[in-house]
Amino acid sequence: MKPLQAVLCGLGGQGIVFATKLLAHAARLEGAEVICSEFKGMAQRRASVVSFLKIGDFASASVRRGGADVVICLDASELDQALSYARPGGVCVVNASADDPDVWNRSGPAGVSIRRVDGGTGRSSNLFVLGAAGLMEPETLRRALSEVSPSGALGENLEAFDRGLEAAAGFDGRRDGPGK
Amino acid sequence: MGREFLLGNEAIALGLVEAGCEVVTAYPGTPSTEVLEGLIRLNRRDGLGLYTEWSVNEKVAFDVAFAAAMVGRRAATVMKQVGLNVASDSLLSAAYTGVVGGLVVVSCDDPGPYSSQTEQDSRLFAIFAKVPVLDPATPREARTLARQAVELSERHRLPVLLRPTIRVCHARQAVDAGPVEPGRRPARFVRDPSRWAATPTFRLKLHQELNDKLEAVRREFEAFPGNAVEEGEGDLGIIACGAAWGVVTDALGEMGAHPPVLKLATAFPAPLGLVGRFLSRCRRVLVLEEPDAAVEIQIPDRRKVLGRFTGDVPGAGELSADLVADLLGRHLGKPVPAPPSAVASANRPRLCPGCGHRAAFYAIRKAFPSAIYPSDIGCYTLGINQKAVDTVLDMGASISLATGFWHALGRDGSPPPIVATIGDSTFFHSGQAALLNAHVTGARFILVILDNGVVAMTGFQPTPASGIRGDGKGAPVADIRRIVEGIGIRFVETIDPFDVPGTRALLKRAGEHARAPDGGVAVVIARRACALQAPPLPRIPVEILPDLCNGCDHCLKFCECPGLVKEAGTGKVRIDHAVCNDCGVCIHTCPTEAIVQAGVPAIP
Repeated sequence: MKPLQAVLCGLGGQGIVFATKLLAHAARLEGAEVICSEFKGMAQRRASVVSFLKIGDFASASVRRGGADVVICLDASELDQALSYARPGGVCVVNASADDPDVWNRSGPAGVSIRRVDGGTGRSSNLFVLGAAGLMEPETLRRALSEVSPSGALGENLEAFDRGLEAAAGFDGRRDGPGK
Repeated sequence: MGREFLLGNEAIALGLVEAGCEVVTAYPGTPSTEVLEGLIRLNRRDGLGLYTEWSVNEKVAFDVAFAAAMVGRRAATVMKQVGLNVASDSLLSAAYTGVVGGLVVVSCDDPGPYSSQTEQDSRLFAIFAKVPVLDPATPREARTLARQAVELSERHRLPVLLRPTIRVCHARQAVDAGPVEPGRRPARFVRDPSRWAATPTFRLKLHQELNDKLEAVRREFEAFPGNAVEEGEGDLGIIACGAAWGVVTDALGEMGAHPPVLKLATAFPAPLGLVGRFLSRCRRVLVLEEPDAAVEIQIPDRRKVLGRFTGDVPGAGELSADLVADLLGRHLGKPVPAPPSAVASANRPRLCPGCGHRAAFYAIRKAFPSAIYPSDIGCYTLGINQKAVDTVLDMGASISLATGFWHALGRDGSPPPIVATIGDSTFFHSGQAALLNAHVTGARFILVILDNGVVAMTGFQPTPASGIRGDGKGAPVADIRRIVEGIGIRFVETIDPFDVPGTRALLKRAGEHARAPDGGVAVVIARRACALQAPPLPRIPVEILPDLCNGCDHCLKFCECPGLVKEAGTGKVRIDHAVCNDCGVCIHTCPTEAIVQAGVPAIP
């Protein structure tokens, strides 16, 4: 896998920690070195959570603003936060309800493309967004999911992930990560 | 031997266990909590038979681990940086007495701060306490330094501090790991009162011994593997300590710059020979460390040094990747484009839907709207959103501040009502002593102990009332009500805060007791399980009748539940059923009775 700096934004309790762990596990299944962050505590009580994931030979998990290749935004209310991390040429994938005109009409900073998906607000909406983000081979992510998902939620998670993949096919069919 | 993807804290646990620690104590506190949790899992997985303890507070945690080190067992105690303040009395004394078995104090710093009252630097504390301190840059290094800290402590016979920052504690990285062999060493208490019971005359001798030990450690640190010079070019050198090294390394990689870098893992005693040689080959040196200038302050001649003392590095806040990239860019003559500005999120932390604390705070505000509300540290600090938290100083201060407000304001006549709140765990930690003081000094206020039966904010660790030890074995329980009665408080009543009208009435009676000529401190124990551990029962689904809602926002301001959502168009409030936990508390918070139990016909 080529080096990748990713940021996940959202609210505490939405499964950002899980989503970050899942991506990290998938990248490691592909043989990559990974370093990521996993914040707990006060932020988890519905406050803003920013999680970092770096795939490649990195010494710290920290990503600078304007430095992320991909930003995944699980809650539209954190979109400004999310966009501040994207680099020119990077992609921001945001979960936004189809009836939220503000988000669907927003344009990002210069050079940042925004992919909007409506994954709903359910427990596995984070998996839908990961499916849509197209960060790595779907089979690897499915395998990673089966290894880290809580057993009771695996079926639901896989199903949400596959729906996200279908939604992504509607962008431009790309599966190889962010544009240049 | 395989590779495990470990949190920095889990890696520290692994290092402590590999070094043969047999007794490990801790008090929960972000970002340190997962060290003992990881250790408890390893203990169970590999059948190690270690003694692990969630202690009542950090001072007790330190003392229990120190006793193990006194009798020759390797031990560790774990806390967040402000917890070190609580343990400090013991640590400073223990530096003088020394140890027999290795003793590591893991103190986790929180530059930011993300979840703490201060951005204090445990390495500066180590300088003050005169104990060596190691500062890991990555989870992988944290595992190595944890092990080396134990060995260093035993070799030199003094406690050693391990100081990871939150970005190491809460980062994950692959670490080579396999099953661990249990450590078992002979242990015996050897009487030595001139050491273990040293009185001031003997303390002077011990202090001189301590100074000699530190000098021996400093000589060792001159050749410590975690300290390394990375060759480079140019006039400017970088001294990068701990986690800052990781951020610097990535930033230099992105910039394509190669200045010489001195990586330091031994923050105190700093290897001044190594540092001095590095300084002499550079024209200027930028010191990057956080959260404070612990290494910078030890450099005797700082004429070439750029850092916090010169104002080149900010005096507060985290050394973020942005900040480091900017600093390096400017000083290396390769300025980076200004990053997008930091965004202040509109989303603040809030109590969960169904939290018993929310109900209690609502009742408190209603019963005593003009009171002073001293409060404390825990999930319930978020009562600040309901305007029912006026002070948050440190653990246990709600009760001692209430006492101080009473005595200070009482000098001019009757003080306003004072309603202090504290959690069950915080009460055990340090509220007990403060309550005793309040009682015996004749203070008058209401204390509401918010009892959800668990240490919630940090991830549901057991309390002294839980009946479970840190190692999972059963334990005797302590009972808050009996402690309060034992102190001598004559008004102690327990109530379920979901009974909002009942709680309001009880608080009024408590107020009467606090004001009565023969009264005293009145304690109300508001007991309701944490909503994340036990969803509210009975389930009371609610709805809001739009015809009765006049958009006054009272429920949003004083109940403040994430399940209550204001509609942009109408200004009325509705229930977000995806989030609502069916606790029914909001029914009691509407002045026009627009919030009702769903499916129950309205009484005409």
